[in-house]
Amino acid sequence: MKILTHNMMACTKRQCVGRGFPLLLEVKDVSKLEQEFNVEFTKNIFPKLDWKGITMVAAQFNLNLGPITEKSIEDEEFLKNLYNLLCNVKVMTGQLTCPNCQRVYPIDQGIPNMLLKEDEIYQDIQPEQQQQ
Amino acid sequence: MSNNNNNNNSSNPSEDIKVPFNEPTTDKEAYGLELKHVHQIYDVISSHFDNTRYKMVGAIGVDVGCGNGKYLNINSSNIFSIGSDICSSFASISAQKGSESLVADGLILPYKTNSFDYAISIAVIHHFSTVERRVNALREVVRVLKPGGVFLVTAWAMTQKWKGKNYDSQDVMVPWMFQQKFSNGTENTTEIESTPVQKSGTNYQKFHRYYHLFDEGEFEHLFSQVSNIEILSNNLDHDNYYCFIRKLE
Repeated sequence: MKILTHNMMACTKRQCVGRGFPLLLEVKDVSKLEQEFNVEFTKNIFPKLDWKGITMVAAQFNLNLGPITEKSIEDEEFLKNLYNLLCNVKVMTGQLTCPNCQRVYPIDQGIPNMLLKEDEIYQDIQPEQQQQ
Repeated sequence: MSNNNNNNNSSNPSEDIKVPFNEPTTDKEAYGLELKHVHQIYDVISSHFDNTRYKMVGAIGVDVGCGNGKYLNINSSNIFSIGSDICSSFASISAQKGSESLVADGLILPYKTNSFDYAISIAVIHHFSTVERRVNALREVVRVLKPGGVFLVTAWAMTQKWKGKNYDSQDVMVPWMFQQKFSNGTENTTEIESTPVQKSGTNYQKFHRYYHLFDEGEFEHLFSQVSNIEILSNNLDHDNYYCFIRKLE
């Protein structure tokens, strides 16, 4: 799981829609990638990012991105650090915890397992759907 | 009097300008026409044109039911695709190819609402076994799509002229002849029904995969129950329906 993926993720529980992010990240093992910095890509994803999630993860990796302002998008050094965090850091082992319901999702071999157990699905989804 | 007024109001000035097209009679004339009406115009409008085209660089999308991840590595330096599959061994196969993949249920995707520029779901929706689940699966993809985002969804068709197959029912079990040499040790799980088959000296285990085969107009019917979308196209090709929709702004 790359950090950009983490930035798009949320808890799968129906009760957490709109509240289940950013998922708290616990990292046991990380793999560093060496994809070449793509400035246009980074500028174009800039407006789509959830900065709360990025700040949270950056702090965990002791990465100081500096103050994030509207002008950061023109700062190539900032964009490069951002790109490296989002696309060149891959969490191989660890876990994600929902900030709303505290459900823990494991990450193993780089793959987050976001499946709910059968009783969780029917406990959470059915009553809400019946209300609609 | 009022008729005249109406006609005047409804006429669009830009439509009044009709540029005559005189078919070129020589190659030199054709060259001149293309120079004046194609090349030189694009020289002027290219930057405006570029601004009106869909921006692929920096697009972020999802592949729901990514299978072995064959669509995840396309243009991966410029676009960011995340694949998910309910089957963890498919997620592993995609991950081994270097793709972003996760294990998730298509009915409850682990993504924020209004997040993605595009979504694809190729040959997945036909594995949901009720109308409600098929509609909910489409709704769930639309939920995570950004307003203006696009979604391509495909499903097997009831008409299988290309493969030359005929099915009696829309809900069918399609066999998969599993070869033991691909075993990952999970095929003997007691809940999975299968029958041993021998064919040309090779031993197979016959598994039965559920498919709901799509009828003409079926995507239109399902999407009529999904709010906030427009269908851009729905075509039948090589025994699959390809439905392309857009989430409204």
